[in-house]
Formats: sequence, C-alpha cells, structure tokens
Amino acid sequence: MSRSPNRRGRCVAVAAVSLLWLSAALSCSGGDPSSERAAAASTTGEFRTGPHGGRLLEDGSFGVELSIYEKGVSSEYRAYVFEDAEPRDPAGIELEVTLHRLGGRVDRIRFAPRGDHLVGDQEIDEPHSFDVEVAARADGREHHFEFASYEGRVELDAEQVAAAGIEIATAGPATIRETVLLNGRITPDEDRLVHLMPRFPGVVRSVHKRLGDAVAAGELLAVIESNESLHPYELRARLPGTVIGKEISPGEFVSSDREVFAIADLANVWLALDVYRPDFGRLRVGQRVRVDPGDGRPPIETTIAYLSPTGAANTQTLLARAVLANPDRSWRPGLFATAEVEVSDEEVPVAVATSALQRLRDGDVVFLADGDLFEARPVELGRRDAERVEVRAGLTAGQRYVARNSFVVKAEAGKSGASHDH
Amino acid sequence: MLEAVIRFSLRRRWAVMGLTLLAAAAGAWSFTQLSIDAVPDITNVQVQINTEAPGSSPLETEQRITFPVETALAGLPRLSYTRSLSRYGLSQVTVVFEDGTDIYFARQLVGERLREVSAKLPPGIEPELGPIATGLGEIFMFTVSAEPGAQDADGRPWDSTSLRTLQDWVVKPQLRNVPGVTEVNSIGGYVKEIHITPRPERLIAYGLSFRDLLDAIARNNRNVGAGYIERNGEQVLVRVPGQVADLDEIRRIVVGHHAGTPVHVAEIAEVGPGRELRTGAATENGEEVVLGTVFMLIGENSRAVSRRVAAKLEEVNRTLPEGVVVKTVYDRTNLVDRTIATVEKNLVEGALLVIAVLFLLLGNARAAFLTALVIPLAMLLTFAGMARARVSGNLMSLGALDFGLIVDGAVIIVENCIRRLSEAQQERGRPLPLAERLDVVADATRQVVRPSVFGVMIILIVYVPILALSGVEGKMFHPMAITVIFALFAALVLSVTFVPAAVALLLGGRVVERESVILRQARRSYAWTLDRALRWPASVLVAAVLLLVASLAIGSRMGREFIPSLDEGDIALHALRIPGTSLTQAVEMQRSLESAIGRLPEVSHTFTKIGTAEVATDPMPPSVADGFVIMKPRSEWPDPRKPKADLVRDVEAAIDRLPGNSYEFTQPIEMRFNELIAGVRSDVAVKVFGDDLEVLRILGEEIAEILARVPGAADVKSEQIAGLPLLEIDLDRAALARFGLSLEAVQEVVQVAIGGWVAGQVFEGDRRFDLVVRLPEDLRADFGAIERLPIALAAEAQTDASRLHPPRAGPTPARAFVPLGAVADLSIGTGPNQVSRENGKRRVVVSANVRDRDIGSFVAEAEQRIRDGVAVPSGYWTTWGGQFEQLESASRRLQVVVPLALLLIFAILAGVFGSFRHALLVFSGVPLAWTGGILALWLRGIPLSISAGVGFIALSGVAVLNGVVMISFVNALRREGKGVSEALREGALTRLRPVLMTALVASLGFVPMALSTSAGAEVQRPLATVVIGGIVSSTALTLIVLPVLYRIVESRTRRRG
Repeated sequence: MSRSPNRRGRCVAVAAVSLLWLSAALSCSGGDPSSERAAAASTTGEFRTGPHGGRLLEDGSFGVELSIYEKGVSSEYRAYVFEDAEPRDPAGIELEVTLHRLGGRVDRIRFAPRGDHLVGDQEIDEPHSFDVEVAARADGREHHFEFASYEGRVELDAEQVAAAGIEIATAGPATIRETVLLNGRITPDEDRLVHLMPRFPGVVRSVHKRLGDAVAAGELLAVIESNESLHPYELRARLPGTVIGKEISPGEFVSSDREVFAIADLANVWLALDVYRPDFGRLRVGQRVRVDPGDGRPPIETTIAYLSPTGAANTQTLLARAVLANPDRSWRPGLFATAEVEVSDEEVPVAVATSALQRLRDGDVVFLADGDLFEARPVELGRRDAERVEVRAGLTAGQRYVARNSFVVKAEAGKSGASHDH
Repeated sequence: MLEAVIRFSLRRRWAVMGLTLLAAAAGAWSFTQLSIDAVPDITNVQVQINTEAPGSSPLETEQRITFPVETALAGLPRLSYTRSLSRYGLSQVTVVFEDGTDIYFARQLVGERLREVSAKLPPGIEPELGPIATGLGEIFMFTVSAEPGAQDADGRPWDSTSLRTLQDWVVKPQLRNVPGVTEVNSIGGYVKEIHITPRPERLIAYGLSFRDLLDAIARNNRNVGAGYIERNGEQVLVRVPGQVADLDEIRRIVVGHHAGTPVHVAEIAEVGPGRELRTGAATENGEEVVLGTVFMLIGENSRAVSRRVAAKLEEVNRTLPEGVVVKTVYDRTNLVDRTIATVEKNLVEGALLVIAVLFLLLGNARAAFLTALVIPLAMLLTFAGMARARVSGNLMSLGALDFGLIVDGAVIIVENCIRRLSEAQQERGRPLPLAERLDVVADATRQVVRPSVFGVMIILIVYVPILALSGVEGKMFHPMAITVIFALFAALVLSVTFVPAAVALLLGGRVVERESVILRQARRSYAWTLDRALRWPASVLVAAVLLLVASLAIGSRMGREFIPSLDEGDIALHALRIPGTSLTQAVEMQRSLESAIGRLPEVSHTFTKIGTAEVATDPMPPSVADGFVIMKPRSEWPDPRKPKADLVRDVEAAIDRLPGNSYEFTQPIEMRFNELIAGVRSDVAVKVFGDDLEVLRILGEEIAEILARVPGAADVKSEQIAGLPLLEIDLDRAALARFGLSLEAVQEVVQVAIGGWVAGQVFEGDRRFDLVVRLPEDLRADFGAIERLPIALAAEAQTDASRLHPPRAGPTPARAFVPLGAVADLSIGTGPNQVSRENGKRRVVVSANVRDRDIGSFVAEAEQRIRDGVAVPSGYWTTWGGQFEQLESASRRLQVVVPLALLLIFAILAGVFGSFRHALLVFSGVPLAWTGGILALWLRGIPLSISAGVGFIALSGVAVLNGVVMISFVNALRREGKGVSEALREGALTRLRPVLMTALVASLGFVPMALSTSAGAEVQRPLATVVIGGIVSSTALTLIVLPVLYRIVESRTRRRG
C-alpha cells in the first residue's frame, strides 16, 4: 500500500512539469506590447459612477450623484441624493453647484426638487469643462465637494507655445469690411452715346471721319447725296466724342434705317457688373467699388451708380453699374474688368482673426487661452472679411485666443484619438 | 547499434576524421549560401492590389474601385481572406493566401481576376500589384538631397521638385535593375508637372470654358505616324510631329477664335512648372528631402542585395549633377552584420570557456581542445542543414543557440574516456598501446553513450512542440526550433563518431589527468554534504518541495510576454496626428520632432515618411508619419551599455512636450511586419460588420464604451473612421435645370479647377511630365474663388441674353456663365476618414488590451455585456478577434503536443533504465531544475517568454542528462553487486566531475549572453538567465536530492521485495 502515495507524488511531479511548461511557454499572453502607448482620454482621471451614470460624491453617509443630462441640444444638471447608499427624497436638500470655467466665467447653479431628483436652474453651455464646486446642505449638515471635469483642455507652457509658432491675440472690436467680387465689362456712357442714321437714303459722296477719330460737336462726318433731299446733305456730329462705330464708305448707298456712325463721349465710361443672385440683397447704390483694370495698372475707386430693376433671364444676374472717369481713354469699352464692391463696413464689438478658426464636431471653434491653458470655445460667427471675423457668441471682448497655428492646439486636444489603423 | 557505430568510428578513425573534415567544408560552403537576416520573416503570403483614384474621397474610392476589385477576388483557390482600405485617392485590397502558397501562383491568380474586373472600373483607373516583397523587404533607404549652396543648371538652388525628378529619372532606373531588387519606391519632393492655370475672369472674358482649354491642349499635342511611301526604291516613313516641345509652344496653342482673332493659352492662363497634389512627404533631420526605399525580392539574401545596392549607389552618385548627393539613411547590412557578430562572439567565447572549464577540471589540454572542437563542427553542420531546409539565419535562430548544451554529450564521453584511460594507465603503470587504448575508449564511450544520447534526444523532443505552432508564432519560432534540432543532432552524431575517434587519436601517450585543487576540495565537501543528506532524507525532501512551491508561486505572478521583440538597434516612431492634418502641417510638426530627437547624443540621424509613397505599400494618411531614429554605434554613445528601453524613454521625453503629436514606438522591421500582417495588434478586438458607416461608427463607439467598463480592459480604442474635413459642393438640381446645365458639366469644372486634370504629357528626352490644367494655387484654396468658378451655359441661352441686356453697344459676352455658387451650396463638414473592409464587408474594429486578467473570462464577460447593452440592428454583426485568437489556437495545439512530448520523453527514460521508477526519478529532477530558473528570472525582473521557455527546455535537458548519467552509473555499480548506499555514494562521487563539468560549461558559457546588450540580447538574456539559475538548482538536485530520492525508492522496493 505504501506505493500509492509515492505514485501520487510522482503524478504530481509530472503534472507540475506539464503545468510549468504550459505556463511558461503558452499561456504567456500578448500582455503588454510596449509599443502601445495608452493615451488618457480624459484628464480628469477615474471617479466613482452612480447608478445614473453620473459622478458619485460621498461624504460620510451622505451621497450625491451629479449627472449632466443632455436633452437634444441643451443640457441640464441633475442630482440624485443618497443616504447610506440608499436613494432618498431630494426635498429639503439645498444644493448649489459652481462651475469655474477657463477664462474666468463662473456659473452658479441652484437646484430644485423634481420627482426623485434635483434639477439645476440653468442650462450648461458647451464645453462641459470646468472646475466644479458642490455645496450641499442636508439635515443641518454642510457637505462640500470639489472636483475637476475637463473636456478637451490643453496645457502648453510658454516655451511650447513659442516652439509651435502659436500666436495669442486678444478678441476685441474691429471694423469688418465685407466685399463682393464681381465681373464686368466696360461700356460707353449711354447718356453720351449717339447712333447716327442718315435722314434720307442716298449715295455717300464723301466720308470725313474714320473709326477712332475724335470729333467736336457739329463737326462734319460725311456728305450724302439723296434723291429725297434733292441735294447733298451733311451728316454732323451732335456731341463731342470719339467715333466708335462706322459703317459708311464713299459711293455706298445707305438707307435711312441703317446706323452709320456711333459717336461716344469716352470722358466717362460705364462699368456694367453682373451681380449673382446671392449678392442681390447686399448691393446698394452708392457703395464703394474698387475696379481692377486687369492690365497691371493700379485699381481705381468709384461707386455703384445704378442697379437694374430687371434681371437677366439666362444667367439670373442683375446689372449693377458704376461710372468710371476716363480722362486718358485707358478704359476701353468692350474690355472686361473685375470689381470689388464693399457691401458693408461695420464696427463689430468682438472679432477674431480668421486664422484662429478651427472646426470641431461640425462647428466653428476658437481656442481660448488662459495662461498655459487652452480650450476650444464654440463660436457663432457673423460677418467676415479676409482677415477678421465677427464673433456673435462664445467669446467676449478682452479674452485671449489662439490667433495663429491654432491647428496645433486642436491637434494636441485631439491627439488621444489619433491612431494608426491599417 | 550505437556500439557498432562507436566501434566502426574507432576502427576507421582516419576515415571518420576525413569525413568530419569534409562535412565541415560542406558546412562552410553552405554558410555562404545561407540567407542571413536580422529577424525571422513572419509575413503571410499576400498580394497587395493598389489602385490610385486621383482626387476621389474615401467613399467614392470604396464604392467605385474597392468593391468591384474585392468582389472579383472572391473564391480564389487557397484564399485565406481579403481586407481592404479605401482612403483619399487610394484603394488598397490585400489578398491573403494560406501559408505555403507559392507567391507567383497567387499573384498570377490575382492578376487574372484583375483583368476581368478592369472593365467594371471607372475609365483610366488601373489596379496594380504591390511589390513582390515581404516584411523584410525594405532593406535600404536613401535620400536625394542637395548640398548647401549647390545650384542646378539654371543657377537656381535645387528645389524638391528637381530633386524628385533626379530620383525618378536618374537614381531609380539604375537601382531598379540591381539583382534582387524588386521595387524602388519614392516619397517626398514633388513630381514635376507642367501646370496650365487659367484665371477664371479671363475665361469669362473670352467666353471659354475649362473644357475648351482641355480639348485644345489635347488636340494640339500629338505626334502622328502616317505609314510610309515608296520613292525611287526607297521606303520613306511619314511622320507628322505635333507634340509640344517646350512651355512656349504650350502657350501658343490656340484655344478659340474671335472674329478670326485666335485666343492662345497664354492669354487665359499661366504656364509653368508646378507641383503635384502629393500624398506623401519625407523629411530628414528636420529638412524636407526625397526618400527612396529599395524593396528586396522575396527569398533573396538581404545582406547580399543591400551590399549590391550600396555599391550601385556609389556609381549613381558619380552620375548626379554636382552638389546633389544620394545618401544612405538605412542599410540592413548593419543589422545583419551585427547579428553575425553576435553569433561569432558566442562561438568564440563559448569555445574558449569550454576549453578553460575542461582544462581546469580534466587537467588535459588536448581533451579540452577536442571537446571544444565539437562546437564549430556542430555549427558548420547546422549551417549545412539550415541551407538545405531553407531556414534563414537570424537573431532568433542563431542568437538562441546554446553551445554549452551542444557539447554536453561530448563532455560526458570525453570525461569518462580520460578517467578510464588514466585509470588503465595507472593500473598497468605504462602508456597503453593503440589496441588497448581503442578498447578502453570504446568501453568508456559505451558506458556513458546511452545516457548522453538519450539525454540529447530528450532535449530534441522537447523542442518538437514548438514546431506545432502556426501563424505568426510558428514563423517566428520554427527557424529557432529547427536550428537547435539541427545543432543538437549534429552534436549527437559527432559525439558518437568524431569524439571517440579523436580521443583515440589525440590521447595517445601518457594521459595526464590531474585532479585540480578545486575539484578535490569540491569532492570533499560534496562527500560531507551527501552523507548528511542521506542521513536526513525527510528534511532534504521538505526543503526541495518548499523551494518548488515557492518558485511556482513566484512564477505564476511573473509578467508574461508572448513574442519577444528583437532589438533592431534603431527605433521606429509613429507620429500620429488628428485626421485631416494637412501634409504641409504634418511636415512642419515633424520638423520640430526630428530636431528634438536629433539633439540626443546617441542618435545618428532621423528620417520620416509622411503619408503615402508613390507605390502605396503602406497607405498612410498625411496625419500619420513613420519616423526612423537611427542610432550611432554603441561605442560612440556616452554610455555604451545604456539599455534600449532607457533610450526609448529618452526619446519619448525629448518629444513628449511637442504639442499635437501622439506616438507609438516600434522598430523598423517590426513596423513593416505590423503594416503587412495588419491583423489586430491588441489582445482582443470586436469587429463590427455592416453597411452604413455611420451606424458602424456609432456601434463601434458604444461597444468601446462597454468594453472600457469591463474590469481588466485597457487601451480601448475604436477605429477612427470619421473625422476627415470635407468641403462638400452640393449641386442644386433645380438650379441646374433652370440654367439647362448637366450635373456632369459642373462636376467636371470643379474637378478640373481644384483637383486638376491631366491634359497630356510633355516629353523632355526620356523624361515625361504631365500637363495639368487647374486653378492657380492662390485661388484653389479660396472658398470665395471656388464659389465664383465660372460654369459655361449652353449656347442657346445666349440669344435671349443679347435681347434683354440693356447695354446696346459694345460686344456682349461671347458666352454666358454662372458662378458655381449659383447652382451649388458649399459646406464644410466631416466625412469618413477611411473605409475598411474585410472579406467583402465594411468593418469597424474596436480593440482592447487585457491587463491582470485572463483573456478567456474577459471575452466571455465582455460578450455578455455587449449582448445586453448594444442593440445591433439586423444586417450588422460582430465577431471577436485579436491576438487572443492566435493564443487560443496555439494553446489548443500545445495542449495536445506537450503531453505527447512528455510521454515520449518518459518512454525514452523508461527504455534507458528498463524501469518506470528510475525514469520517474530522473523526471522528477525537471521541476527542481526549473526552480532556479524561475528565481533567477524573478531576481533580474525578466518576464516569462518563449525565449525563457527555451531556456527551461535546455535546462530540462541538462537536468535529465545529469540524472540519467548519475542513475545509470549507480545502477551499473549495483549490478556489479554493490549495495544501494555504497553504490550511491561511490557513483555520486565519481559522477561529481562530469556533472560539475556539464553544469559549468553550460552556465559559464551563458554568462556573456546573460550580460549581453548587443544584437540578439533580448532573446539571449532570458534564456541565459534561466539556464544559469537553473543549473545551480539542477546541479544541487542531481547531486543531493536525486541520491536521497533514489535511496527512498530503492529501499522501499527492496523491503517490499
């Protein structure tokens, strides 16, 4: 009988061997691929969650669970109260939550009972990133909690900011000049344009002016011999200008419904601009226009003189007109020009550099700077020009923001999510 | 049988020596044939299909290219699975075949299917097969750069476009033909293009559309052949050249006419060299460069090929213009040479130590020398075997070779021969004549040959389970197991043929066997200890059991690591940025990253590939950068012994403060493997399959949230499939209808204006450059300009235009236009970053690692929670994957194979002794031997790994070997009629020397390895540590516990008997 314990012992030895083999060689799990670098998703760290998914704060037997309840676009604070980990009636509990946000804004939220919980009296604006102070009063005892709840907050010291080429500026009032860029053509001033037709049909005896000749008022243009007028009659210029059209040659028969000369006074020319539909409402007579001749000469300024009451059916455009002084005749009718119309020139209370804008979660944001801390602020934008953009909401005058290389801050805030997927 | 072999070797000793020499020569020749690489190749059999889709967003790429390609591949023979990735401008389908499929066969199959599918793809889209290379293929990288102040032919400083042109047309064509090179891939700089950039207002002014411009260029840039004519017996070819020769000719192309006045390209557009819309960039030490990567053909010898490439580059450098240099930035030869140096060092040190130990303990230099000879001989024979079996030499296979173990068998035989020879001499008082000497050697060999042969065979068997591993583990460890098996087998053969023959030949004359002082001292104290131990067997056993339990407890709590990471010396560094990061921004960020790393004293240089190269072997978005940090040789470091981990920490510290980057550290080859295998690299992964990307994204996020809450979960990540900023130009169909415009016409304008359109090519000798029409750069990026893009209206609309437009004089526009903004809404949003598919279905991966918990229970719990917590809509499903799959399959195999191997070992032991009891006795030594190994690992803080496991295997071999030798000797003494105690004492004291010798040889031989920091150290360190620690406990066991156990077992048997 003494064999059996012995054999058992040996079996154990064999088993131990196999176990060791197995444990050493095969159950070695992939464990810790050192290349993997865990990136903390939130800077806030771990906390206890309550049954409603919120943060559970406890002080002795008193417990309160704070959760931000998102209902569609807006969100509110809800608080559930516990006594010895058991839910209790929230009536009679005084609760106040103070949110300290980056940039100095402080939200004070008071709570009132509603059903089995307390509800905050104001909406919580995005971003939900703040230092939270909770003061509760229950059964005559005070409870105080403090915690940080940051979202997308980035810390960069001065050295890092400089190295990354980040520039910080202060939001404030600015003049925003909105412009509309339009294509147009130079046309003669139609008020100073004459189309000459012979009074009587006849044979042209002589022609005295050529295309492009300057003419004075009353100057002889051509002589026509007509059967109706019975003797040759003279065709004279009615106003001073330049011959811009001529369809008459000596010996030719001209009829009285044919235009033979077009004479325009080119001291002023018109710029006919095509305005596209989205810009209709923004144009007014009198707005300033910068016209680029497109041939290297400097642009000149004028104003909108006329807006057509009708539109063009095929292009769905509207005609706008500006008058250009043309002392040296360098604006030649028929040529194209581009014009920049200043449609508004307004002082706005808060504006930021357009290079500050980034997009985050399908909205525009500006990164607020407060010391070494940076945080995205969703902004509602108004008017803009090439350099500046009006901020209607989300940022107040005097707040500092990232004006240049704001992408770096966005990248830093979002880097925990950056991954290399194949 | 063995005896016959020994007798034969002794009789034909010269022949045996000659044969050995021949075999050694064959081995030496094989070494030159051996493909030597740094690490084992773990790439699966795969074919990459890359399809470029210029300008297409991920969704379009997937819909129009990836899907048809993938569908066409279904049902290929030996297909394992397909996966695909659709990114901006690129579709990559990877077809993975079963292991063992011939790569050329696989490529041919894929090629055939691609020909069938090409009709279904959009015009001009051409799928291409990736290079015929494995993860070890990227053997050589170089940069093309200009020296400061160097100027090109026109006297301008070299820019990245002209450097890229040199790379594409001078460097690459030469390297491509180097034997063994399958591809040279370029990244960085800009491919030269000729840009024709029309100003929209001029198009409007002349009434011309983008299409008119494209057509005009296409019609005016063609050479035509017109056959031949015969003239006076001569055949004359007719040719009508029309290709534009230079930029001026392009400028003179006529686009339209106005009343007989031609409008030339020059009137409406700028013409000049421009930059492509590139998908990748490269930097070196903070500067933008052009980078080339040489891919080695599958199965080539990386050392030979990279040497050829380096030689070719020397030549290329001479052909480059002055001031432009091609510089090597990564050369696999370095790593391979270091691998070889490690093996060489092991060989030499091992041999020296073995000689020293043998000389000290045997007191006979000749014997020591001939035993040590076994090491190089076994090595050469191993090379021969490896070359025949096409196993590559690398850090795993050669670095883990254990020379102490190889000579063990020979040591035992030589020791016994010497002892017997000197005994015989003393007995007779004269040197032995040859015949007697042969007899003594034969007898002495026979006496110990069975135990030593069986000992080696047992070690061989323990390695067999490793051959049962499959997949990545299999590819990683097979070469090692095969090499060790070859080496042991060679040593085994040598110890029964060459060793006795050499002993007989070399140990003529007086055999000196001096018991050294150390040994005499050792023997005296051993006798004392053994007596005490035999007197108090119970306390010995209790102590042994306690030790065992303690070490088991420690072992169960030690860290684990499945696949050791082989140190390649250099660091590869993924810099990851948020999706949507532009290439320019990424280059800027990489610049500061590289200069920060460059300041470390150990770093030689750094270079980076950002985004995707010309051949998309690794399709990365611009937000991902593959950085390489190349180290100086260790001798140039401030502290040459600094561990790699510290260095990585230093690098991390240097770059951690740079905002906007997150990092992953790996190594160049490892990184390439990861890219190619691209399975999920985390422990577990949930793959969600389905149709709608948005639904998949939400499901992925929900599952990630649930996974993160399961205890033990770490690094939970959901694949980023969204987040790519997208400017969407939504066309208003009603507005289009009002203007009589077709959707396509408007799309084309946007495509040409922003994306650019290749209108033809310009030839400069052999070089050819695309002629691209697109908006001037300043307008392309301007949303306002995009909104004002002129869309030409159809001709019939013009007539009523002239009627209604008030101004009567002056020309009316030749053609009416509307701005894009009038028919489309521009909005910026985010779209899919990439679309991944697996086996023909869209997929999102949620990955997680598991810490402090076994994966099986984690998966079970997570699965339950997901089932409860996530409502998976119909048509969507989830599967589990990740490393744990491989782990499970490996465990299942090993659960069968390991017990089988153990059984086999036991059977062999039982066969040796003809007794189960003795077999078990010897077997019981294994766990005790392991206690020392575990303790040693624990003390040095090294985790359990396969490499440590190999150490345990070797250790078991030594333990069994010593046990067998000891027990069989004692048994022999008892057969001579001695009593148990007497036989035990005499046997144990006689075997002290061989036991100590094998122990010392094995452990001292490993000391350099245990302390090593050179290439291969991470494989060798755990192994050497285990063996050294284990040898101590194993020797103690063999010498003390084994005799005690033997006596207990034997006395009981006898009492019962």
